[in-house]
Amino acid sequence: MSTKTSAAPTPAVPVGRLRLATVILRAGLRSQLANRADFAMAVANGVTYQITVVLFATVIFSRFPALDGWELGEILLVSSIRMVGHGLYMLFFGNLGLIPHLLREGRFDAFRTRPAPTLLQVFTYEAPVNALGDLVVAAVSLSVCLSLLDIEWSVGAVLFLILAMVCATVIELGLNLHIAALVLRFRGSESLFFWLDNTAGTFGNYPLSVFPTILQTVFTFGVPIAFAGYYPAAWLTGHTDTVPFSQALVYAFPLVALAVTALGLAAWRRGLAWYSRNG
Amino acid sequence: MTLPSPARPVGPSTAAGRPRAFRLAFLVPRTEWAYKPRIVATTFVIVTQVFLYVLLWRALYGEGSQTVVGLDASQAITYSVLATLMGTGRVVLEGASQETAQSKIRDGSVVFWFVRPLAARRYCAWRGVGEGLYATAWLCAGLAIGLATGLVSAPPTWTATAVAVLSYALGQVVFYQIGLLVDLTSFWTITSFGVNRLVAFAQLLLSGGLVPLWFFPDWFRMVGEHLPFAATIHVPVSLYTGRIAAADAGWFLAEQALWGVLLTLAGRFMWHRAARRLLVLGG
Repeated sequence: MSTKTSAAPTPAVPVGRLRLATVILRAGLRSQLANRADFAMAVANGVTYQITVVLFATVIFSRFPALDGWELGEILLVSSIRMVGHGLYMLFFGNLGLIPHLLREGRFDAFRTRPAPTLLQVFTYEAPVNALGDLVVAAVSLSVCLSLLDIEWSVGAVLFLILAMVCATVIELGLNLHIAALVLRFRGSESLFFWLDNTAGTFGNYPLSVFPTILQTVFTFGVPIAFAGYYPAAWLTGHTDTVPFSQALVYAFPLVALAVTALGLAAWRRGLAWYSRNG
Repeated sequence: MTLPSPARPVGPSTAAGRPRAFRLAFLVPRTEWAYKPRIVATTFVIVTQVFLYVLLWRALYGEGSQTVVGLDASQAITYSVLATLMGTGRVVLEGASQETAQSKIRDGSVVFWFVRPLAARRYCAWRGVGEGLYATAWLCAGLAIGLATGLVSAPPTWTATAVAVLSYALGQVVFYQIGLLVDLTSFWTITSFGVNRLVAFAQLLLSGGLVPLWFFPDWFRMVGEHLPFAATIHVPVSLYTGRIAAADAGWFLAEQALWGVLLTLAGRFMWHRAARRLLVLGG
């Protein structure tokens, strides 16, 4: 009789990934707006966190004025590039930091069963409200810094600055993907997210030349946070000749960004494969 | 014929006649031990943070033996190492056991806090004791390594050592009470992420955990010194390094104790109100 109608479910209409992401994000934003006070707090949090970074740099600078020939505006450029990069990272990819929470609540396992890429579901899990705060502070810091600096802004220099900020975002994404992969593999290692944030926020704001060689090496070749601020800023402010190792490094940040992210994605896939087998 | 003797209730509570609540103090160390990667990660975070700060201060002070705002290089390094050990250790351990009101309210299991034969307030307090002792173990280990490698200077006098230890103990009470007050707000707000992070910000900035309070402008330091946050790190560490002379310690200790009492009273009041407006989600 009429068994045909109930047997075949209507095939799901294929939805583009971007469309899917916007739909999920809109729903996420609405759920966050449900609690207005918490929403405001989240924005304020982005602001306050970035303020600690700026305060640390300015307090240090006011007490120890000679930072290897770099002036305040020039040092602020290092942290501004990093902070804009961080704000954009938080806006698009900041949910990576929620993975420990997603694992604990079992939501991550649900992501694995849905027909959409896991990483996309993580990125769109929650609307990144506190990124708004981060970006506000980053924008203020950048505008203060630009007013202090005496740079001839050619089209090339502006493009270089924009590219530097985008690459700072990508570098942060790559590094955090490595940590996310570790968190999947070793439950309880989530304090590494805090570590990266803190280390980049505290030590990524200075000319690399003030640090001893070991730190210059680590921040260049190990955890390359120097490419998310210092190296491009050295070119923009005319400090290329003071750069450690090789002067060519001031142009290397796009390559570093690509390499870190490619390695990060590979690590993430390995972590995910391990998790699927054992999780 | 002999009557069967009534079945005796079994369980740990009968062993000593009454529940041994103090064993709850082992909850945090044991949870940590269960997740060994956590301990590895914590070690990594603390060691690298300490190392980085030491290098940063050495680079900033340079070769000279200058004094900045009354701190010489070795005092600044010692301050920074201890503050990192005390602050980072605490932040990393936070929520180690996931036994916070916030997470319990979210999954509804907070109700168990109130149906146990042990009052929720005492349960949390014992757990807090364990947390404090565990954080102290990290501090002691770090301090021992720091002293052995010459990164950290020993306190100038035995009196300074004694007052620093006393001040640290008072600081731990204040630490616990601040955390508790923040956590208890989730009885009203359900998700207290916002409050949590704002207080974490104030804590980081005003405790000296980020930059020694001495480096801030005078007005900021004067205000900051009289807030409870300074009692957690700034005061004990300043006493340890000798930046606050042991002879002047009296007022600082009194102020720490006062904060401890005030916050404890506020905590008691909050517990009382929280228990009355307990809302269990999904149940």
